[in-house]
Amino acid sequence: MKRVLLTCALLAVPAMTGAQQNVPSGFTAFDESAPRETLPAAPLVFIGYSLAWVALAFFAFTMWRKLTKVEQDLAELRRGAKR
Amino acid sequence: MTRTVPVLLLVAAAMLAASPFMIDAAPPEVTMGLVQKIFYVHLPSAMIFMVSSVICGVASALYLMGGRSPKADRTSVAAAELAIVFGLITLVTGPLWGRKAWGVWWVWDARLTSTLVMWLLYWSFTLLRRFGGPGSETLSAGVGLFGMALVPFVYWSVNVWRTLHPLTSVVPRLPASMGIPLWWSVVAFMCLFAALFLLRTRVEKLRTDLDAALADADE
Repeated sequence: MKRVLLTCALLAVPAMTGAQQNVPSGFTAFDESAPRETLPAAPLVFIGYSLAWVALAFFAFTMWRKLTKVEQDLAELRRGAKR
Repeated sequence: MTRTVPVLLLVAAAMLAASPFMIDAAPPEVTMGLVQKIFYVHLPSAMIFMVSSVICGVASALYLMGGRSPKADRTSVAAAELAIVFGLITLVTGPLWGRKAWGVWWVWDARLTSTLVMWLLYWSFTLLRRFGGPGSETLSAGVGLFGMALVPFVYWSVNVWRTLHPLTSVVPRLPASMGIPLWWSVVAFMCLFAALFLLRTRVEKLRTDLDAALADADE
């Protein structure tokens, strides 16, 4: 019985001291001048809208170019067939 | 088609020219501030991403079950490419908004992950069409059906699983000052989507005509 109690005591002491070490010793006042993460929103909004327009303009441009090319090829083929 | 596309483009351009003023006039959200204005491009593009997916899925189903119709095939190809474009806008604007609002660019939650998977599925559709060789039309139609099956999963994911993403109930509850610019942007994006969709199907139609004409010339 003594051995069991001693073992329990030996196991409990480090656990208690460990738990006590994690507890903050007191409150720390908030420092207004301390650097905080300040991520500006305007560049994110600007990048978001710009990328959307670039993607849409690129797609529209490539479609228009493909359409012109295919129409030209078809017209050329038809002209060749008539000859 | 020749008249519809310029008219739709004109309407979209006029509406999109007015939208920055409406978005600027809309009040910033109380906790997120200015970055919430990304919403007016993020949500319309996400909606069109889902609309394109449904169009691609329906066209794929018609292709598989309706006797391999070339029109259904062209529709699915055009819708899949537009799903990639609008999905890209959704997946780029979302993290830009999330970085400021959540403090992280990306989280592997149900909404974001399922959206990414759906977007990759349309890449697989398009790559399959480009490099798949003969018979890729049927295989890609199968992929298109799976893409459409993901749409309800993506939409309701925010209501079913714990996520940082806002719920679907946000949009119906928007105040008029935010709702009007949002729906204005949605209509403008829809007009732009319709114009690009018609243009893309026209390109596909002419390309199949050209292939047929070349095959005839060879014979």
